[in-house]
Amino acid sequence: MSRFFPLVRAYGRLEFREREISALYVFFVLLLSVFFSLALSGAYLEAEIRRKIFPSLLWISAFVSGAVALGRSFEADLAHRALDALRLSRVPLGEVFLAKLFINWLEVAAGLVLSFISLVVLLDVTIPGGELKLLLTALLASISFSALATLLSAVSIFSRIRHILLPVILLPLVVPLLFAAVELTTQVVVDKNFDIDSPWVYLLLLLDVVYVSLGAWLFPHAIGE
Amino acid sequence: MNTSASNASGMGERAAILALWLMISVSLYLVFMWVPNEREMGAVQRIFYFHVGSAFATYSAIAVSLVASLIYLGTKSRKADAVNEAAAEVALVFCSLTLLTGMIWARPIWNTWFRGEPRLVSFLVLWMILFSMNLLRRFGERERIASQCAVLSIVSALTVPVVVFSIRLLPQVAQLHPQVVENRGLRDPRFVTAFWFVNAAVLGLQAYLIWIRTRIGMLERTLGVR
Repeated sequence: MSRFFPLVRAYGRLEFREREISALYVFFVLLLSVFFSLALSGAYLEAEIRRKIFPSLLWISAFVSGAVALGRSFEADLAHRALDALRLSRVPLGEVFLAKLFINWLEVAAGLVLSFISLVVLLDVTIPGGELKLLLTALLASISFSALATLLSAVSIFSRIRHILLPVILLPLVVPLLFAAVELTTQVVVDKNFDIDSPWVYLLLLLDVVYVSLGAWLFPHAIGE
Repeated sequence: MNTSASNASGMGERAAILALWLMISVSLYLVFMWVPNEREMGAVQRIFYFHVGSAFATYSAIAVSLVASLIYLGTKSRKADAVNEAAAEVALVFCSLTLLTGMIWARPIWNTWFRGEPRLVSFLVLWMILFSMNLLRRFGERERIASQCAVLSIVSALTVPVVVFSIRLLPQVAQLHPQVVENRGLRDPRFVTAFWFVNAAVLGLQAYLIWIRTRIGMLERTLGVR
């Protein structure tokens, strides 16, 4: 893992240089939240119902915006032939994947926090405590999602329709994550009976281990080693 | 060229096709002429035999795709890639048939085409996963398509049991789908005989379709079309 931190620094600098694109991602997240609240405004939903649907809207917003944003994960690498250079150097490609995963996870986490805040404000939802439990749910779900999205971004990057291809191949595979994240968030926000021993927590932990390991193993094949 | 070996394989192929044709014909006879009407659901229950057979064929084709993908990543064999492509297409076909036959059955029994129920939802999600696998094959980058499809097949095949498991955990989803096989609901031996015979015929059809599609895929690769 000796090259992990230099790679993270390099990818971090790259993201910082392209911060105007990240700003577009931020705007897209806010736009989704506004769309949800506008679409629901005509239904005049009661506070309790808004709180019940809040977890579903939060995770739809997070996963859809993440799928759109992470489609460009490897664009700079492709444009500057950095992937070829990495293949020719003796950097283990598994470490490249993990470094890219870390940066993507930061982006997904930022989008998730923004979705949370904007939906709480726009839907006027009261969160009854349990911040640490929400944080745990967010951490577990975002790691799996980022690992899957990073691997499939590498798969889709070479296609001429890569911008639509990544959401199409990623979102069906994210369904178990969606169920687990929504159920755990509902347990905190609605039912107020979050159980650390819940099968959903173990499912997310398992998916984190499986998708990160699969990603590190399959990444060299995805970029066509 | 070894003429006797190619003659033998040609005869073997014809024998296999004949056997499959016979099995399918007998299956149709068993389902539409031999088994009695189910006591509660009546004639519409007969679609059950093809519905369950299609579901088994879907899972079987996904398993073939997974094994072919692993072999491809290890050996870079063109044949393994052709088998992966064929299995993914055949799995999508049988998954579509499972959904369609399920909906045809559900309409008179549940008075709706679709319910948010574990098996229906899991097959719908499975259909989306299989569709995306085939989409990647059509629109992926040509030079790397074999490796990329193998990667997606492996991830998809490993996600399928997770999808099924996670849907069963959902608290609000009522178990409406008949648990015929698990609850040993086929009491009349004629139902049991027809059930297993039709399943064998459908799986035989699935294997034949994968085999034919693999041969077409190999020809395409040889001609440089793929």
